[in-house]
Amino acid sequence: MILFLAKRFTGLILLLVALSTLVFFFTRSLPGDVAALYIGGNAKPEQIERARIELGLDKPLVVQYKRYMERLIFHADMGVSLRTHRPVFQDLLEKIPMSFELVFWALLFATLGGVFIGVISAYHHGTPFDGAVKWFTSAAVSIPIFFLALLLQLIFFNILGWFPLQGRIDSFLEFTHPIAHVTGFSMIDTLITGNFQAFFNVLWHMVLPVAALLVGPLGIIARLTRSSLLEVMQQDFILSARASGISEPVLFFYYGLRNALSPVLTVIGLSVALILMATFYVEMIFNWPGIGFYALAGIMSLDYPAITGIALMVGAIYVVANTLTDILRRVIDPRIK
Amino acid sequence: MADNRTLYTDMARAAAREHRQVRWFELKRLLKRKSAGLALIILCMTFAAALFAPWISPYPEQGRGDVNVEHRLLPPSSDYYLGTDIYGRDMLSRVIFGSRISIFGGICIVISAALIGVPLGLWAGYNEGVSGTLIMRVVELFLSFPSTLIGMAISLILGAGWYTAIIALIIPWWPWYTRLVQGEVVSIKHMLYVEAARMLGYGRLTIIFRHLLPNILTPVIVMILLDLGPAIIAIGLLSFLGLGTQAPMADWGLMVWEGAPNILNEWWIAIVPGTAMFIVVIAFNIFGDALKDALDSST
Repeated sequence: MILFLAKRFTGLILLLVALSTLVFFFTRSLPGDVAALYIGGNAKPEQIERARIELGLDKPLVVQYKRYMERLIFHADMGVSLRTHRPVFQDLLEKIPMSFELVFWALLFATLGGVFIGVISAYHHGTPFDGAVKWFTSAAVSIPIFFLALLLQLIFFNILGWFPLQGRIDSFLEFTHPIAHVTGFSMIDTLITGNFQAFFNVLWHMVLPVAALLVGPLGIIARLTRSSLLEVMQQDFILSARASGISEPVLFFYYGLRNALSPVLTVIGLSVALILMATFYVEMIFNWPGIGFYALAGIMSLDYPAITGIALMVGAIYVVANTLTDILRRVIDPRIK
Repeated sequence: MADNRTLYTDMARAAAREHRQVRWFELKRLLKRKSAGLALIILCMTFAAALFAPWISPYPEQGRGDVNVEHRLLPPSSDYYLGTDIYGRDMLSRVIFGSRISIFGGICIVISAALIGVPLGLWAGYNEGVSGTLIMRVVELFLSFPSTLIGMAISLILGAGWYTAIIALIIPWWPWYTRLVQGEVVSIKHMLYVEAARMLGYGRLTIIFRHLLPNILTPVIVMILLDLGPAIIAIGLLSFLGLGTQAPMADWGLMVWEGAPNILNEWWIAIVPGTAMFIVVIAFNIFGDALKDALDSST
């Protein structure tokens, strides 16, 4: 086990180094002159030259690489955003909690709902209910995320009027009940300061973006739970347990489910990155001021340092989530060697 | 010696042929399913629409991007069956022209990925030496990061455009095929007919392409069909960000982006291309699923 952990962590560190190296070469191969972009429109040639020296772009690539890695590792320095003119790392730190709230709820409901739907449809497999679940999961994995977000806005704001169109909180509440900045997580902040009016308002604003984020992962998790469970139920140990007189529900929900969840766990790990990428679209459509909105604004205004920071962050989260699910799988499922 | 040779060759061929026959025979089961048949009809219609776009769309020049300002933002009517967009262009024509990039781009991505990934997977599976390990390390590196993110990064480097978006998506796509094929090859390369072929002194390339390739083709074909839906969505995701097709060309992702600000009043501008994309992707997914079930003898 210790050997396995050591191996996994070495792999993780190697992947993170590979990620930052790839991102370095990515920023260096982007079209356009970074120094000119840094200075801004109609700069004089000598100003651009000075910016180039300031950014270290006149040095050989190896020196630049060393400087970039040193800054990244020891100072968490990803450069200054061309759009907001603030350090990218600071921007990211500020935006992460806002997106994390959406990602957390989406992942939680996608996991619980997906496993639940998958288990029920596997238990009743072959029935019309199972057929309906199959159609639903096909639709859930096929719908483009931006289309789903717009559709939700159209139906639940424009036609039914149940949920707000966009934003994080009603604009008048922002003045009457402003959210105090304690942790950055608006739900925790409003709760510990007793600001319940703002709390419920934020909750109400979160419903549609979370719904848009969770549909895709929900479909994938439900489908995988179903197929994994049906596969386990055909194995010999289930047959022998059935022969020894264990009742069918116990057989299914205890013996079957326990053995079927390991592949589901991998997909849940992958869903973290999937949802994170989906926030790019959902946050822009719902005007939610998080990482995704920041990333998309960065891409659209070609804000290279911001794009670099986002790429580093999303890549790192993906790699770390994968490693953690691998370790967790190993812990709960001793068959994996 | 000569007798042995023909014997082994026949064995190898028979094994390969039987394998194929069993699999393709089960295709007949596929078309008995209503949902698969329906999906196939939808797909054929979309293909036809994409191929014959200039002849079947009511306003072909608007489909290519000509503006028609006096009829802007019209709701669906008998003149414009699906309404018009902010430049007065007929949505039906735009959607038909947009299908060209989605359908042919999707096919192009998946086929190119398979053409790059399958030979590399065959090589890496058959030769577990330095070259094979090297290929698999590169594959693992690609699979360690989200494909969409790699696609976005590459299309930022290459610059926006519909063909650069396709190239940017092929690059993170091929490693999936390499991994699939490598796994398959490792599991069949110690089978008797492969050993027989090796004993007869056939070269590596002959064994790889004549004996191994036909036997790993079924999972590859299933994967190609299952990948077409995600490829179309990936193109849409890039063009929605402005990294793919550029206006005034028609592209479903770009059209949804153009319609997004008007979603509350002129909803059809975003909903029509989005629905088209949804229907085509779900048809590909259902057809691919049905094919997988038909070929998979365990179900």
